[in-house]
Amino acid sequence: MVRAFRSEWLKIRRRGMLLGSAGSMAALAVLGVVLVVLRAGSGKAEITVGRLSQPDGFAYLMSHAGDILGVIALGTVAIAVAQEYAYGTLRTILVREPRRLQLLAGKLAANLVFVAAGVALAFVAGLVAALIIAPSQGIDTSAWFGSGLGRTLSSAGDLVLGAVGFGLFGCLLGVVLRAPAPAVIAGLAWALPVEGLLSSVWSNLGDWLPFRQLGVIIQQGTATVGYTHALVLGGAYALVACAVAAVLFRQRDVLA
Amino acid sequence: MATAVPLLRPDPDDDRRGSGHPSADAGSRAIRSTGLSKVYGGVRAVDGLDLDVPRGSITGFVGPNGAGKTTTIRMLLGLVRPSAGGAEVLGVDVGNPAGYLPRVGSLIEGPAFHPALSGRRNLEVLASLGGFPRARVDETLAIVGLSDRAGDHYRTYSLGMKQRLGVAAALLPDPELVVLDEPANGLDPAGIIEMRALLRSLRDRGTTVFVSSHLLAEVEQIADWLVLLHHGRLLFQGPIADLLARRTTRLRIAGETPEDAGVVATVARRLGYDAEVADGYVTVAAGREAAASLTRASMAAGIALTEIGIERSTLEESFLTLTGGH
Repeated sequence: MVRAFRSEWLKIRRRGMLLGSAGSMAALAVLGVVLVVLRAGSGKAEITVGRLSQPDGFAYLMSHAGDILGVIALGTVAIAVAQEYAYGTLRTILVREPRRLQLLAGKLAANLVFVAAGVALAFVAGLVAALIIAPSQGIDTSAWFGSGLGRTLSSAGDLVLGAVGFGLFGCLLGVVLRAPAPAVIAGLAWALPVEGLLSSVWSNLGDWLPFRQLGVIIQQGTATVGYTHALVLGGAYALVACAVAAVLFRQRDVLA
Repeated sequence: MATAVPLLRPDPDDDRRGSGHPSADAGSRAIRSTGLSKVYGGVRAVDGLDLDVPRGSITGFVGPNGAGKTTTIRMLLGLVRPSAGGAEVLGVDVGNPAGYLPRVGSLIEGPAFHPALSGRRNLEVLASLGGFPRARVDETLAIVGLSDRAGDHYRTYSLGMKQRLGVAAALLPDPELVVLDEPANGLDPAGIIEMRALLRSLRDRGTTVFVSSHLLAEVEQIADWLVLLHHGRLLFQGPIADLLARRTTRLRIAGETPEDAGVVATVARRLGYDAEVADGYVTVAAGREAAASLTRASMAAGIALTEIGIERSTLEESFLTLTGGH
């Protein structure tokens, strides 16, 4: 598994990946923070200056970027897995590492570490952007690092956790669909319109859907779904996704 | 393309060599299968294949498109699960690919690499995965003549360069068995000659080379051992010399004028030989031993022969004979 991790890392650490995935995460985090802060400062939004000045103000701010970061994480991992089928490279790497579960585990671990690093970078970039722009909108950020320091830092952890969860589902989509574009589209479709539609039709169902749980983890709990509930249920979903991906990857004939 | 292949046979105790348990006569056979079959839906892509490939040979694995060659290779490399039967590669059951694949290099169905990575980086990815030293990357690039372009993105490579990189990847483990699918594909004539020399040099240092191809004429140039596949079934297996010994011999005769060919053909038929006329030549189904009698009979008929040549049927013609032309 270590060799699979190192091998995958050689593919990850290239300019396209660093600027594309990690750069996108940082840029979107900054954009999201700036837009929300400006909107709050205008006095016309639900999110108020007062709300953002609270100790958990930055955690609340970043949670709005969480779903987008999660979707990028899903896409990054889905593409990394699916393109081995699309390029035909799977037949080559399986000859070098025929222990399929170890190969998948190493590959997944490398991509999740990359995703986690990207989210951490996005968090820092968003924080820097917020500290620069918030005072001009009348937002007092002192509480973020005072009584709210723990919450600020834990929000980074929950962002990473949520993104990793999205990444695990990306792995499943990559293995099942075996093509990058369909894997990403399917993930986007489920994460955004499908779960939203199901939740609007059956309001209680939203408390039990997989990507909703990841969103709740990122937000550190909501009014209707508790953090612990989301952690346990989201973790269970992620485990099932991993198990299904592992079985399919191990058992299926490689024709690509 | 260099033909000298630097040695890299790691310590036998190296755990990356796998934990296979060779069978009793592993020393003599690189590949062995018994009743190997693969069924996709209702189609028997490979049907009861009993392979027996000796170590240290260049084995040509030939058959027309759709004969089951690639499916067979995929089963041998652990990529596809057999529907029936079994096989051993380097004395290890194919159900335990980790036991033999560290000693195997392969290029199947064309080279496959990441377009956004350089040639060198693509090989480094595989070397890292297989636990081979980085130095091996530069060695194999030199062997295939790609050192100058190693830093360029794979997507900028020509077909021939991509093929060379695929061969380099197959050589990374300094393998005991190399499985190559159409290795000359995309190469120019000089490259094809270099590829043949490379395969011979591998064989000469004890590596078994298993070359799959639908180009029988190309295989005829280099193979010691031949496996013929047709509709998923074994048609022939053995030294290529055995199959070539079955070749038919013909005499190709010409007279002074194209019109003489008809007379010569009549003479040949009177002597009991089959004869065909085409383009001013007569092709007689007979060997060298008939040349004297045909010459005398032609002279008696007033025809002076200007050319008598011996032709042997090619491997392709032998294959068509075995398959009944299908």
